Amino acid sequence: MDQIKFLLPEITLILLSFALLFNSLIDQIDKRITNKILLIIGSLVSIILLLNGNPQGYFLNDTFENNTLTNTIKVLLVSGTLLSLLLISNSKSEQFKNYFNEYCFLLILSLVGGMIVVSSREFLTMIISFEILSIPIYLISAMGPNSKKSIEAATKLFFFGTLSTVFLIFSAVLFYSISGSTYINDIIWSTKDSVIVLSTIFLLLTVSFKCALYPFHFWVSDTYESAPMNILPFLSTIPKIAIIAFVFFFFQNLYNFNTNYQIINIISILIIGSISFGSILSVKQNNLFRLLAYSGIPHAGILIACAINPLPVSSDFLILYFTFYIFSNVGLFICLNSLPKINKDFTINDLSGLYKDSSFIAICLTIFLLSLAGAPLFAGFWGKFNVALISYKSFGLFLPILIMASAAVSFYYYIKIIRFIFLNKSIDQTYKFSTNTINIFLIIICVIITMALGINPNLMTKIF
Amino acid sequence: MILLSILLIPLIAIVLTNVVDKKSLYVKIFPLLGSLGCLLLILYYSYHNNLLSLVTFIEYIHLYDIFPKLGISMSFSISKISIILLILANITITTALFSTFNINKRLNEINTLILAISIGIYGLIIADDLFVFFLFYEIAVVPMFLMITNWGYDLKREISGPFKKILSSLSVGTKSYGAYKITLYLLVGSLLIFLGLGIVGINEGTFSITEILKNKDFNIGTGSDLKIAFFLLVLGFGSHSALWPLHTWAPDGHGTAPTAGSIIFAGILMKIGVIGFIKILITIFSVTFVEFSNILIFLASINIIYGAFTAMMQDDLKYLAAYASLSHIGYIFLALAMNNELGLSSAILQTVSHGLIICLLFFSVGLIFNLKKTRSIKELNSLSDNSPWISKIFIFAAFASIGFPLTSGFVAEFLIISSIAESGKPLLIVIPLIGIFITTLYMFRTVKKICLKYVEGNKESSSISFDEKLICSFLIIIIIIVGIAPNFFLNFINGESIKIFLGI
Repeated sequence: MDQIKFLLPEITLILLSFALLFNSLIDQIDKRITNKILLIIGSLVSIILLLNGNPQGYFLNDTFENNTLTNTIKVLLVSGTLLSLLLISNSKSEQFKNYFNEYCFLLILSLVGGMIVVSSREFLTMIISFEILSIPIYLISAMGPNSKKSIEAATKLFFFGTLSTVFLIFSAVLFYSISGSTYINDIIWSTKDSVIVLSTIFLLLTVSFKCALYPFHFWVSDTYESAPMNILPFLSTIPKIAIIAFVFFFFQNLYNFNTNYQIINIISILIIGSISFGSILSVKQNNLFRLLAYSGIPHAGILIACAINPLPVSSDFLILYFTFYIFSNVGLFICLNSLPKINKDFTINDLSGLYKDSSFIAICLTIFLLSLAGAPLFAGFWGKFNVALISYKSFGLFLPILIMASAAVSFYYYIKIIRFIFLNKSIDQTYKFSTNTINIFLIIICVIITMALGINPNLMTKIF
Repeated sequence: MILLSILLIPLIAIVLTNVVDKKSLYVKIFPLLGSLGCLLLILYYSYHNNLLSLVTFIEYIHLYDIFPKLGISMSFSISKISIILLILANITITTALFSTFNINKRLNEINTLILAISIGIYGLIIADDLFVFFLFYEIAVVPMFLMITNWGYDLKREISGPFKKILSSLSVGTKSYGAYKITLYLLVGSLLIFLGLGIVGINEGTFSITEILKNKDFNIGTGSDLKIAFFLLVLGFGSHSALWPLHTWAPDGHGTAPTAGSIIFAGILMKIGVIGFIKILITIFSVTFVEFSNILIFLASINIIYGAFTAMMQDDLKYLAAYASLSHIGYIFLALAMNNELGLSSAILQTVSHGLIICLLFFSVGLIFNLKKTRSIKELNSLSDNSPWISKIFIFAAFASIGFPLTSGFVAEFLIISSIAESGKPLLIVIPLIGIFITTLYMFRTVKKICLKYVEGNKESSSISFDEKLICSFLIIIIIIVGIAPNFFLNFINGESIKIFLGI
């Protein structure tokens, strides 16, 4: 029983997910309001538990670790999920009205998986938590509006996802053969044995599949295009961030030993590939969702570059980047979801004249896009440029040049979207629309966080 | 501390401009009031601190830490030189706001962009931290793109030669071509500048310019990485201020931009590079700068002579003004490369004077275009009969641009020539003299062709409004004051304050 207090936030969330599931069985009129209240209370309790009095240290036979950093990341994950679930609870489509509780159940389980991934320090628990994180996503991505297309994408995702889990298990076996232990802390990075390189490659295969890094980014555009639009805020942020945080903790000990440069070279291939290919792929896209899907690849590459940086300050910057990425992305997708005629074949041209239709959505969309591009006075600026600075300090000039070049390219394709938002169109096409109050509230939260971090990024370190 | 509210006043003006009714007069008045408020604030600040009589003045403001572990903080420093540059920036912004008066299309948005640029430029001038410098730099650059794509002009350029197919596929001459070209240059420039600033800050352990200058005893700017940083910064700032091989954005950008855009490009944006040279390259990299100053002299000489000759060939008035400003930017770099105090102060004076003159020149070109609906020198004629006011303004701008006595251009060019004489390289005097000679040629020719040539059948149709008269006479008065009493301005940029500035 003594160990349970370490897991209280996760247990709260699991209870919440079951409570939501049982709520769907009760036949009552204002089920949706109860859902929202349950959701908000459950998530807030878990956030409060994480912020105050979540005990720190190793627990459950040293298989998990809680510290300030993991708590901060978990708070971010929970708040990102809360925002995206509140968006889903507002949805007007029949499917989401009827199956909202099931969606919530699955997504919260996936969130719990992500939270355990961040904490796990041992291979078996890690594999299980990776699965808890991924399986609900396979399920939900099959529930898209165009059933034929989304089942195709989900099958693709499922097959390759399970294959990548097999790779993960194989890598765990290889690590075990070297260190004789399933604990991550016991890996001796300085071993000259090539098995350790091989097992790192297999681990990185899994990681690159799950966060859509360069060699395994192919699923991301199909899934974004065919998955239900309301889960995109979740899908684009939570799994990526949980796994990159895991990468940060996994390679924490890499530099304590006499560094094995082969491993760093392999990781740098991932980073360089994702940043350059992601930028190149995004430039040509005309479908809005494919563009946003591909533009996530360079972000993931930059995040990995920050995660494997040996400087102690890198954890601060990682948190900053996570915060900016979660809130900008979630805000962006909430804005897109608020558009009345949005569907998955939406091209950039269809956004034209948005400023005339609803100036609030247009301005907020611009803020989020500028933040993602790394424009100054928005949080993204500090995120990208700090990573460039610290990677210059530890890896030399090449990586910062690449990051800056990708930032320049990302300006091109994000500003392309902004240009259409502010473009005029003929008068007969314009029609005013009003946005849901809760959506406006969510968007304002995201805008405030994006702007506040842009003006003083040091706020993050002051809060946590 | 009080001066920092010049970063806030434009922001308030932006909010007010977008709140009021889009067709009301307030859309014009609020931005203007914001800009004038900034000017009054700067003047009050210099009066309050008694800047005219004080020899040495520097105020250091530390707002809050951004990343204490890397030595980045939100800090500003205000010296006498930055006051002068702030006044120049303010006058340019005000002129740009006046030039938007006759735009009917989405006036509030273009004014918002101009005010956003003004925040960037003010912050840039007073920033003390390298990272904060870069932050404001980006703020100034990003709105430029939106401005050209939405309010620019499509040019009809005839394409010929071996690359005809490629060039026409790039749609050369359209406003989106101009906008993308300028954005590409500015973005690549900002990439290089960021890398340079990052290398300096990481190697020094702090990003504060004042702190770096305090530790100046060990050979700063001589390590191999820092030399790379020096060249990155020269390329970045050079591409901004249209240093010779990197100048090609300037004519296209100026040509396709709206009048307000041209004024801001020439008056401020090209000066951002110069401010970067003055604030960072000369101070932090003083040793390396002396080492490589011959390269800069070479490039600046090409700028002066090439710009002047190309301006002679132009038919479009805006292109003429763009190449003329290219040529005048060359004088600034030439003076900077002389490595003496007179050189630096004359460079700053030329920055101010060129900013004022080019504002007037572009403004008058905009007036001519509004009157005649063309900017081609071949088609324009008998302007002094049609509209005496516009023709007088244009003639004054042309003469000031040549460097006629009693205008600010004369003082600045005279000081530059004397700084060259002082530096011990007297043969170099030939270059500015050739530049002035060719400028005289093409300006006289243009004035003769478009103002004084009379064609039958032209009626008087003066179409200059009161506010245009107001801003033009304001600019003319300031240009003449600088020309007659340069001491008032030189007081701000004389030897002592430059020594403070350089951290000697």
